Amino acid sequence: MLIEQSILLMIKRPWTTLLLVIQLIIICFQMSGCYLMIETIQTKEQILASLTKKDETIINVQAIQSREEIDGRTRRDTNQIEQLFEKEKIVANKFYLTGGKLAKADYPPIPTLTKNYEYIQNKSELEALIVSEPLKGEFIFTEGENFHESDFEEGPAPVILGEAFRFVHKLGDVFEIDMSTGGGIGKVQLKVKGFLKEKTLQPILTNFLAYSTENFNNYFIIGMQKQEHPLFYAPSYNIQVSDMQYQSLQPLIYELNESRYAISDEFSHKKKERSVFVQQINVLITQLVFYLFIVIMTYYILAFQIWRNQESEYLIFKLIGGTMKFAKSCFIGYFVGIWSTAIIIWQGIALFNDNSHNGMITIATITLGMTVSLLLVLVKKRIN
Amino acid sequence: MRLKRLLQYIPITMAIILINIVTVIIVNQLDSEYYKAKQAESIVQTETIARFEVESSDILLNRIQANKQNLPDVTFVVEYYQNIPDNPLNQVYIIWNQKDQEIPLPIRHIIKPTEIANRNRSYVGNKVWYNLSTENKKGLSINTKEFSIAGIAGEKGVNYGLFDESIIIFGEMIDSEYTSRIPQNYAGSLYIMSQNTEIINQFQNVLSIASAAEITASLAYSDYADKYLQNESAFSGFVLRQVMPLYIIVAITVGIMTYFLIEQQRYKFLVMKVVGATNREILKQIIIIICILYFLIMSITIGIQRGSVIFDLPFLAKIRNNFYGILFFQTAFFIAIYTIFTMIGVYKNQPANFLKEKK
Repeated sequence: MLIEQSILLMIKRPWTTLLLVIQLIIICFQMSGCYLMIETIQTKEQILASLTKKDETIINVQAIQSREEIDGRTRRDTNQIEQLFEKEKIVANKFYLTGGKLAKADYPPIPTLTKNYEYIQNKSELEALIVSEPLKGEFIFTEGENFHESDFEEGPAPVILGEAFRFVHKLGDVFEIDMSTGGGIGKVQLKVKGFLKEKTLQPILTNFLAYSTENFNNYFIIGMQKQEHPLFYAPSYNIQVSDMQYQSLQPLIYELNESRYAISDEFSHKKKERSVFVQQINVLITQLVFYLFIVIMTYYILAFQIWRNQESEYLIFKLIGGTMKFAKSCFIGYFVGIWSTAIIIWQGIALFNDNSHNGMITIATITLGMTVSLLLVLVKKRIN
Repeated sequence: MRLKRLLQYIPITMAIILINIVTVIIVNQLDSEYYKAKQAESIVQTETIARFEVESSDILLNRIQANKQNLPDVTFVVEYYQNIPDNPLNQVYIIWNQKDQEIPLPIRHIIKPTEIANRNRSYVGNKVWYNLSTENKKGLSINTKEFSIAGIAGEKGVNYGLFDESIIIFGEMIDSEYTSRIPQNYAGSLYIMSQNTEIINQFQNVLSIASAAEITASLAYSDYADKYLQNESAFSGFVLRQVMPLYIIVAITVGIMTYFLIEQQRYKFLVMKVVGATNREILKQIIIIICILYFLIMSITIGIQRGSVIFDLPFLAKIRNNFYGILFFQTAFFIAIYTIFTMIGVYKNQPANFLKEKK
């Protein structure tokens, strides 16, 4: 009977009901978009929080080989720069940048940021970093641990992976990487040594890691003894420093004899992106408040007018023995009807588009707005 | 009594003011390029200037530093990117040979008037200023040089300005110590405030610039947001996702308010007719009310918008004068809908018909 009456009320004003449902669906989409954006900002904040100081960044110093060195296949002499790091008491992780290809089954589902990375990942390719000594600095592991000197001696090469790889591997698993094209050193057997925590800025960061995914979860660091192979001729160094240290380090590197090092800041782009988002957070909160205000205002006026228009009918209903509680329930039922229709359609569309994030919090906000407006009307009527 | 009668129009008045505010925000977002372009042109005093685009701004700045004495005595500007305290990756404009305010910088407001004549003065954009810590607001250290902040660059009431995320400094402070700390691998631009081909060629030769000069009438402006907006599909996507839903949401509210106001007044006008009021008298009353409403809505909307610009609030920004027409038309449109439906109601609803209908 109650549902019947509520539906009747909806049918009685078909255009108003339709417009309200459309409006509520759009508000749901907009609100969930705002919440999604806030969540993204929180992830970025989390990554930033893993830095010790606010002005810290991660810089990459890459040794550049001359044409003669490449042609003559000679190793780049990096003694000077390593001495400089030692003198300046800078903790640097030395690595060799390469690539590889995994078997489909060993490749985890990594959500990519751009089409280019998607293309690489569709082919199960990845960026691999090779280190010849244990990692230095504050690496944060979810599981497992850093390399030990003994790991480099014999057996499969130890590998430290990003958290995305936990979908396909566990500690101690042995699998293979094909580095025939990437590094030219053929197929290599790997043993999982540890997993680095995602959404955390570890002291090793390359351009690929910074841009391929949002979560910093696709690290692939292989521990391997240095070999007489072109892959090991020109190392890169990653350093976690403050902006001031970065600025002072640059002239010192330029001053080195025949300095041929490219220095680049790998994290500032991400920091910039985050600072733009943080400025947007006020806009997002304003938008959320605006939508809530629209819901309260629309439903307050609507409920007030509908109650006024229906009042005579409710009084007649009361005269013939009905209770006001039932009348009020029918009245509230009308709004519950609009609410549920809109929520069902919105969730249906969102699920169809695989975009059903932040559903509960959006529903809670809408419900809060509508409840406040209805309470205001009921209180006002009671006072009158 | 008449004032009390106006109370019933508060919801619709509020809703139309709200849709006007939403329209100002939308116009502001869609037309953000206008103020950027105007600011980019404003600092070009000659008819055109020469612009060189370089792949490595650090190399360009080092060459300028090394060959300063061989460069012609004209004003020139270098634009490049670097981290400054509390602000990662900002546009830095360095102005050389500035003579008697030759380049009129758009200034939002002056913070320290005493610093304007100092060689280590700087002007920062409002977003840069917002991010700076209290300590850094007193003075900035960039590449070991100390800069004082003389003012905020930009324009009052402009939320998307060209200089919002930039810092402007002057060539007097630049030396080899400064340039040795500039990040590598960032593109930059050199602007020469002259139309003289000889001067332009001299710059090109002394600084060994491989690319050809582009003759232009403004600074080039491109950042992430611009690139996003310049992309046509991204722009239409932005309009569809952000702008249209906002407008539809408020428009539906305005529609519902109008509908219920008409419904509510239907009874009132019937009662007036029963007690002897003519259609003409009722219409006269409606017209007086809509004139008051129109005046009230427009005054409040423009008042809020102008107030926000005057007090430089980030709420409602400046819009071009011709866009005010949209607000006038839009308000008239919604009020006209209300008037037409009310008038139809007044003519159509006769007490006798109403009773018959209710029966």
